[in-house]
Amino acid sequence: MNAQDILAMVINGLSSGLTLMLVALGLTLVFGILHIINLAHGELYMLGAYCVWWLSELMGFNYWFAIVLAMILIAFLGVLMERYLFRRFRAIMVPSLVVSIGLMLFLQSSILLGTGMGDKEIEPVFHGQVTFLGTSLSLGRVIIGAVATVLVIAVILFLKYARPGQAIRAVAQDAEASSLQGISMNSVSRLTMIIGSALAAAAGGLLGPVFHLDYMMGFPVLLKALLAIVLGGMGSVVGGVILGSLVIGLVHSFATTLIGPEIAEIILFLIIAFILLIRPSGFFGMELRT
Amino acid sequence: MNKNNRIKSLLLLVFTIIGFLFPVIRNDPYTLSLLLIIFVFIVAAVGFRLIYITGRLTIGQAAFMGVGAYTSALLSLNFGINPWLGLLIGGIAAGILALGIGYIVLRVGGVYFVIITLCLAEISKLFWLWWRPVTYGNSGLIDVPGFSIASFQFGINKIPYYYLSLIIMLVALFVMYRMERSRIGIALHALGQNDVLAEHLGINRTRYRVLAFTTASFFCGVVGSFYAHYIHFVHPDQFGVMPSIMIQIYGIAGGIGVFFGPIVGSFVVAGLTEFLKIAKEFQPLIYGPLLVIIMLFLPKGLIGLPQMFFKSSKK
Repeated sequence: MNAQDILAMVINGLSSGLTLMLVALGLTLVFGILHIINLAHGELYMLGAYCVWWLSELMGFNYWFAIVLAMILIAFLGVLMERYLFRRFRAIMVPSLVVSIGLMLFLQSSILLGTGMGDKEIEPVFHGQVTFLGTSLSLGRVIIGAVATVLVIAVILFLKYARPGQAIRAVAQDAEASSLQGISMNSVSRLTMIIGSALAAAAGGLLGPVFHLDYMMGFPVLLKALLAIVLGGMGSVVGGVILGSLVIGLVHSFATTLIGPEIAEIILFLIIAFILLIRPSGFFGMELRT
Repeated sequence: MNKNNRIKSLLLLVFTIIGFLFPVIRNDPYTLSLLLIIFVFIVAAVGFRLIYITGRLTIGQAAFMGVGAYTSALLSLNFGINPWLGLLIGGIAAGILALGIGYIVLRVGGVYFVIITLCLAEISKLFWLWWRPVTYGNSGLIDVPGFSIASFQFGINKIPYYYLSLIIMLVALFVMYRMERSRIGIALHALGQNDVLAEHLGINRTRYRVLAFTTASFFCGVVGSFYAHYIHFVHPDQFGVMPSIMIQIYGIAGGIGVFFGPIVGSFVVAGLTEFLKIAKEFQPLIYGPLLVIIMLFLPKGLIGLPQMFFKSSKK
């Protein structure tokens, strides 16, 4: 084990942490506004990847254009989900969980029905390696990380400075008080679903060329995103999620290389379960909102 | 005993007799094996409900089925322990594990508990995959021995297995039903409605929840072990998140509010998918919309359907 191996592990960890962040951000935004754990969120990621595959491989669109188009399409799906399902179950735990499980099952099997079992691959746009501090990295991974960073920063700026973004934060802080200030709850939750779905779709589209597409690919990502937001504190809008995702990405990358893939995930889950027990408000000390 | 109760017990008696006579009326291996699996899931789904009434939603019950199945299968494969004993040991192993885990995790409520149990289901699956020297990982355990009474081997004949699963189910249901109708059950319901108030009335929150959790998991272990000896094969995928979600679907679709809800749910949902003859991969295509529709229009579950009908006709 030399410095280069460690650097490679760090960079792999950061890269997967950054894409995880895209999924986790949406999940935590939806939780913060609608108080719903959307277990179908991983499916939005999966659908994003399939959408990009469909647009770029079958329809022949440019890869980046396909990602943008997929983000729009999945955001539209998210709006439908919010309008007809989630809005009715705002802050009611059991029915909302059951509905999201229903959606998850439905989306998974409809993709299976629609595209069949076989392997789907998105042709990687970037080939080759870059050398950074003596470590060679795949160019594709670096670009994925860069795009994810740009998207996350864009969302953070939006939440911080744009008026609709500020409305989202206000509702997350106190829904009743912000309603009294004239913020429309429904449009805020619609906007949240748009952002969340688009980010998940982007993550799917970005990671599509790295992995094979599989109709079950959303669930492991969903679990990891859940872990990330648990680590960062549920419903804490930004800071916690960013740290949480990076930590999950790094721990996962190190543990996978050092002790093997299955035990890595077991360790990850155990750590999270432990954190939930001693500090349900998240490891990074974000406030717990009920 | 009022009229309603008398009808209920009469119905129960009729159904039990039908259950026992079924193989005589229709000795068809396909139907028997279908019913047998439904019985297994009924036990798990009723156990899911027992935990649910204390105010905790779990998506991890299949993990305990896995513990029962692997314990009993490994004991019989490696040490030649009789599967009958294995049923009990499997149940006890799952129960002890649930006792230990329950004391820790049942303190956490709401969404956090759901996430922890989800992790639990995934951890258990990964653990079986990882522990290759013993569990053979992804290849699974094959040739798990079946049951026998003296020199009579159950073999490939479905009828003895059918009766065994029926008896296991009836015992499990009886125990859980009595539990819910006793003082303990009142305490469990009180916890579900308002646990702070319940604690002020002298009900130990964690202890009662652990009791429900352990009981449900014990029976999950027993049916898991039965399942392993019945299909002679154990694989990690049988006990991951998906089967846990199935247990939850059976429970909630039938109606989580009443004891017989999960039973009705298991029969209807499993029967429906079997009746429609859908390939296993596409079954979620039915389950998904079914769950959403039930949540939207039938919050009491399928068992609330006749009630709704009668009420509207009285108006």
